[in-house]
Amino acid sequence: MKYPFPFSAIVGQEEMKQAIILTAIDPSIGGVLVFGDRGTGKSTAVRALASLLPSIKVANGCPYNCTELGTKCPYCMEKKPTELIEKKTPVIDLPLGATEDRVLGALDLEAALVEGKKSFEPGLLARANKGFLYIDEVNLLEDHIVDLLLDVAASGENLVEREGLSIRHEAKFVLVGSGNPEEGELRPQLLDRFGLSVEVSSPKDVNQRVEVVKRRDAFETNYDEFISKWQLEDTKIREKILTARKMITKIKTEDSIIQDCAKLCLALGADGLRGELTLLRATRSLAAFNGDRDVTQAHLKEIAISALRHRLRRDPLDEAGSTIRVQNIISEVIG
Amino acid sequence: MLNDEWVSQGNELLDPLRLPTAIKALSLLTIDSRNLRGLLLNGRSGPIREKFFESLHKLFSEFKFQKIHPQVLDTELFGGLDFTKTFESGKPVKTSGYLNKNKSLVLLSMAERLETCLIGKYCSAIDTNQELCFVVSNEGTSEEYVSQALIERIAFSISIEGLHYTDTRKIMFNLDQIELAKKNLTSIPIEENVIKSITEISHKLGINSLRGPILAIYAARASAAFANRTTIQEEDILESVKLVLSHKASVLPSDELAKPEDNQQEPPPQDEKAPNEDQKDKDATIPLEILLEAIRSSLSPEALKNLIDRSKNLKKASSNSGSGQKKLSNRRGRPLPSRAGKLDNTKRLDVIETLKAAAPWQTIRRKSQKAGHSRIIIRGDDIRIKRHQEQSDRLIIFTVDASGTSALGRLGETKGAIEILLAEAYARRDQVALISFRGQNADIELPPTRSLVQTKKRLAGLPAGGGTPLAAGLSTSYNLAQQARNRGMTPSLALLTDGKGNIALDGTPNRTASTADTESFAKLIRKAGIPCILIDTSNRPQIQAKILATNLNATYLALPRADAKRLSKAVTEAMSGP
Repeated sequence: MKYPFPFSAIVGQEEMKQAIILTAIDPSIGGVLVFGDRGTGKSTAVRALASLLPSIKVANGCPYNCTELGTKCPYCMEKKPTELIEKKTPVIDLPLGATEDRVLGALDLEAALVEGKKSFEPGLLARANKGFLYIDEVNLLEDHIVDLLLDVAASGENLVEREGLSIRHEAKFVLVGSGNPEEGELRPQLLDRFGLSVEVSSPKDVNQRVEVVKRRDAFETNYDEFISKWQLEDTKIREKILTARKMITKIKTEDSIIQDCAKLCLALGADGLRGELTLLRATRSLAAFNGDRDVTQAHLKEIAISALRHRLRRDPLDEAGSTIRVQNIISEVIG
Repeated sequence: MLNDEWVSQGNELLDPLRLPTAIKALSLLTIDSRNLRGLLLNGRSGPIREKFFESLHKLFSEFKFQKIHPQVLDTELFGGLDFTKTFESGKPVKTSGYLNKNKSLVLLSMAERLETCLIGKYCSAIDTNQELCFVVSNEGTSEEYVSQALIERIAFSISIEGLHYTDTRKIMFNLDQIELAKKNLTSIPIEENVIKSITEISHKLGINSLRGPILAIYAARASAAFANRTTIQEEDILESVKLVLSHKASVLPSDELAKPEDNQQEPPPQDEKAPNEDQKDKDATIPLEILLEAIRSSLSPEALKNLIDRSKNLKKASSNSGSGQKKLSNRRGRPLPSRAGKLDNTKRLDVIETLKAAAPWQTIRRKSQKAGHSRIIIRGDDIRIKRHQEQSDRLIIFTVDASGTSALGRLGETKGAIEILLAEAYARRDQVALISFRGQNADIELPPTRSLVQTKKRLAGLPAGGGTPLAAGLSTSYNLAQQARNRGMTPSLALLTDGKGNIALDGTPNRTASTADTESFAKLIRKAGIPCILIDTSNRPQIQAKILATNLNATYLALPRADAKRLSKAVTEAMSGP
């Protein structure tokens, strides 16, 4: 099998890479949205995500990725698996134009036709449980699929009542989306589900552009050499992620930092409390990734734009100004 | 191969290099299809296209050919259960899927009609499966365009439009040369200076995506291999610039005067080159001027203008293809009679109709089957698919300038013009909404409705006077149009004003701020792809209204000359959209 383009070999785009790493450290941040022009490495970065993620332990054979034995998922109830096995964290592609049946799961037609048996065929949401759900061109996703996703993302559970089936299974996943804003807007409800949001643009510096082309060429022509070189780098990042995951519980967060988070969100007029929570989690995982024991204002400042940029009330006249607005408010509130 | 004898004599307007360019592009694609990914073929069907397809079979002799039509099903693309065959045989029959096969040439016919979600699937296939080579065929007229996302991922775009029948004789390929080039391809190194030249030139041409230069370096290498060279030479870079980059360009730095910024940007690249003294002993990078000259010679100004217009149109077209425009659906909306068809994941089976279709045949089918068969025998032809029609109403938003300047002049005539438009809308069963702006702000006088009488009544009683809050008028129209879109309607905008706004968005009388606000909202409306018509209601046609029309991308019509016929024609044109 051919590996995708390695994550560490992506030139520049530091903000995007940072956001992806942070969400890999702490999935409860709630995923990343990457918005930007064509040909800037959005898809490449997200496709490379799988190689950064440590493996998870799931019940043997369970299509719903149960991480414990004896759960009430349809498979574990029936087959009663006895051991946990290691499995790569799933990164599931949700293609545009996927049908409800394919996303939620539906009657297994093959079993129905051949064995005359009524059984449930798990959908993409089942496969993405405990992992990541990646949607390329997320802004072009059809409305009824967005509704489904929002519903499941809010409850963490997928409930299917159709074709005489009644199935309930866990569906906790992290959304990762990418898209080109020129092609359409994202609905605010879905926007709010993403923890971090980054904007990418193609590099303006010629040398950097040359470097991108060179690495891509090396990937195509000297595949083996290139992969072995950069996989080493990817492994380093993965190890750092693992260390950070262990460290994150020990990190101290002063009340003053939480106050700063709240002040920032208030000043920006962000709806709900998801902004504060995400900001806090992202700040903490940034500190863990940097190997710091305490969360400081510097961490907060570094991540605040990504965490808050998409939570502003949108001003239809302000086309690209939300980054600047967040920046101004950060310097006002924190200094 | 590139000789004067290729020049087509029949049509003087035709670019003489069109055919040789096409042949060269196809040859290069054959040499390195793994990296060049594919080709866009523009042109309607005819002997020339047939000949090209015939040549494809020869060139890609070891590839499997798969022609995919725009209505392809998911199971056909990615493989899955073939419902029709499964029903017939009573046991599961699986298909392997077009995009999972190795070494195949995927021919996308009528690519201008592809739906966005299908384009997404092809794009990810191009990105991930190098064994596939894509030939995208655009058979559309000049108004229909293939998605930029798709074109961007493949190297070449060739046109066979306007070539004469006699040209078919001239389509030939040197297969031996191509075979040899394939063998030598990987031994040709891609030097850093080549990468540098190509990246710089694509930057200059306004190609923001980095896929452009990546495709171009492989085209240069293939060109070198084709010419049986061991290194990439200047002419190979020129060739790749012509074949790959010129059609992806969005700006042409035609000369220094036209693009003064480029002059200022000139020094930095030279500074960057200076420290790399160690590179000087290799081939120096090709001066940009030569490359630009190559592009200039390969593109006529008209062709470039078309390209730029195309990218603008595309943005509009793609933002238009949002929700609420699709007419037929098999999920929601008013039910239509079910129809025979193939079943797949995207469709719903109409069980009753299927059984009804199968019922009359049961006796006959049982006789032909083995004895003792008691269940209902259903064949593929019996399958009936549910169909629904989704409502997609059109909405015309009338935004009327009821300010003092207008009232003094010609509000009466404006109202007359609106009545003509209303009659037009009524005849086409469109919904209408009325917004007026005067004084400090804009009001929705009438939310979207089908009632013509009500609209006329409101219009007659429309008060007038005060300042011209044009920006507020546009802002209200924009919001209403977006709301309508979310509810599945297709909005268009009819703006009747003299274009002389003097009240800013916040209600203060400030002409400068008003102009700025108006401009940004006009651009927003244009970006959203809402079709517009602007009717200039001033006594003498004014420049302000024309500027506004340009910003809105609207059809401009001056009221003095707007008799009923012209108005109705202009509206029909503007409202039908792109």
